[in-house]
Amino acid sequence: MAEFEPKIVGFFCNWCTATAADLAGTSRMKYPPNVRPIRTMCSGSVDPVYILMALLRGADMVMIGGCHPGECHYVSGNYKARRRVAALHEILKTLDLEEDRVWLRWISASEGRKFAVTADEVTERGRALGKNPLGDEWEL
Amino acid sequence: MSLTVKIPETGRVEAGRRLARDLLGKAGFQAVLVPKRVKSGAGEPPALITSEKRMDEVNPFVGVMPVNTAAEVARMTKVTPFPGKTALILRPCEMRALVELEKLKQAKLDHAVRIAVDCPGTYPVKEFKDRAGDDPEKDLEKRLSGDAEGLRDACRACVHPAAPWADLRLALFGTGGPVLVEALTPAGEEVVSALGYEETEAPERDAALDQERAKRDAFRETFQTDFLASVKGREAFLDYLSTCLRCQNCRTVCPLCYCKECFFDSPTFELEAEKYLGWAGPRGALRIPADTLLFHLTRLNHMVHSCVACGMCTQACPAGIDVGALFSSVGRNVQKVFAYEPGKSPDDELPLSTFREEELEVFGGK
Repeated sequence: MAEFEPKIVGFFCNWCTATAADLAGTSRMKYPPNVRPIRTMCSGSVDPVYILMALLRGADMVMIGGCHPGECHYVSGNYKARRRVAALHEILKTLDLEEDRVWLRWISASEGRKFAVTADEVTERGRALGKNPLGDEWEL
Repeated sequence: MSLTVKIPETGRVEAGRRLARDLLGKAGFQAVLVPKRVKSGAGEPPALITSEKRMDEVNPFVGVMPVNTAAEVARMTKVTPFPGKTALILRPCEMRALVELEKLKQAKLDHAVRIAVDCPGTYPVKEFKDRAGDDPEKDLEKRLSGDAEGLRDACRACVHPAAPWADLRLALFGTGGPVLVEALTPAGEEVVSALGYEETEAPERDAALDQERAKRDAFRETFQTDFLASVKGREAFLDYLSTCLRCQNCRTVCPLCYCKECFFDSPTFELEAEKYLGWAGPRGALRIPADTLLFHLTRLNHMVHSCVACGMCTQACPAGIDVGALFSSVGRNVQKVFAYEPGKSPDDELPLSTFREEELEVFGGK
């Protein structure tokens, strides 16, 4: 039987990770097709509700890509994203709801290679965790 | 050191009434917001009192909390502050919620003096009349001595018998009997001088408060550990929420859910019927009303860092879900992440409005 292929929703900052994804593509680097990218204007604009919605509607992993600390196009959006993800992780951890399905990564516009490697890692982690059980649950 | 004076009345409830009257009279307040008995005796909601004639049957220490008054203060002062001097007499959880709401710029309190009572706990609204009986002084004594049955779990697990911040506090614990007024801010001191009560000291107060906190903390520890054990994991958590009607009462009564338009009332959730079929498809079925899990998890994400654990959500749930146990238990963990205590001080920054450059470095990868 074929290996389980996780569905991954990516929220990528327009100024860094989304561009890095482009760069990885135009440089013909190979990375798994599991990541479905959504371009946002800033990692700080990703409200946790969208992360949760993705997970509850059937995504197996969610990856948020933002600019490295100190490099936010809007000065501090990425620091705020980090606090939001920390809070979300703590909530999911307290309730035993697999917080490791939510990843936050810093990938700058020039790091096409890093994007491809990270896409690999997040896909591997998704395979290891297996299907998100919330995707099968009807009592949501 | 804070300035402390003694209210010259023997009964505690009488002392509370005396203070409320003197605030209107001696201290020159235009209005006092304080709980007042309704005719039927079934409840004692807060009342905005402008005349001494209406001061009979107020009781700042009453054992029932129909609403978190901070939310009502925010509603009243959202557009403009009270034009004249207004005294707000609140319980510690209400005071803490008001501190949060002010930081969130949801209340304008320009001429308000914030007064927090010591709180020995309250009964659920539905049980109040039976549990408290007809003698408010006797009931207060019973709750203070720790003999009262049927107090809300949120109160028994509350480690704030006295508010950490207020202009004034009405002290019950560790006073040796009388009700004391403690001024904690310059605005509070001004009011205390206008009242003209006799200055006093309360050497046993700190120890008495520590003892009360320790007792409640022990209850909280067991209560939250047991609660979390009962809801941990996907199946247990869905069981816990299984009777949710998504009436959103918990959101309505929550003092910290202040948004004018909630995301869950937005067009994002006005969907074509086929969307629901789409979600049901791969699962074979879809619980209706849908998105109860999303609703509660999102509300946790949006406000739990400021949750003051007042338990109004539990009291308002028609399906009997102990929503407050969830929010207080999860909130405690989230607040620890940011070393934040809601309501502790108006000067502490809201955890999601600020950041440190060097922190939380496990997030973000290498």
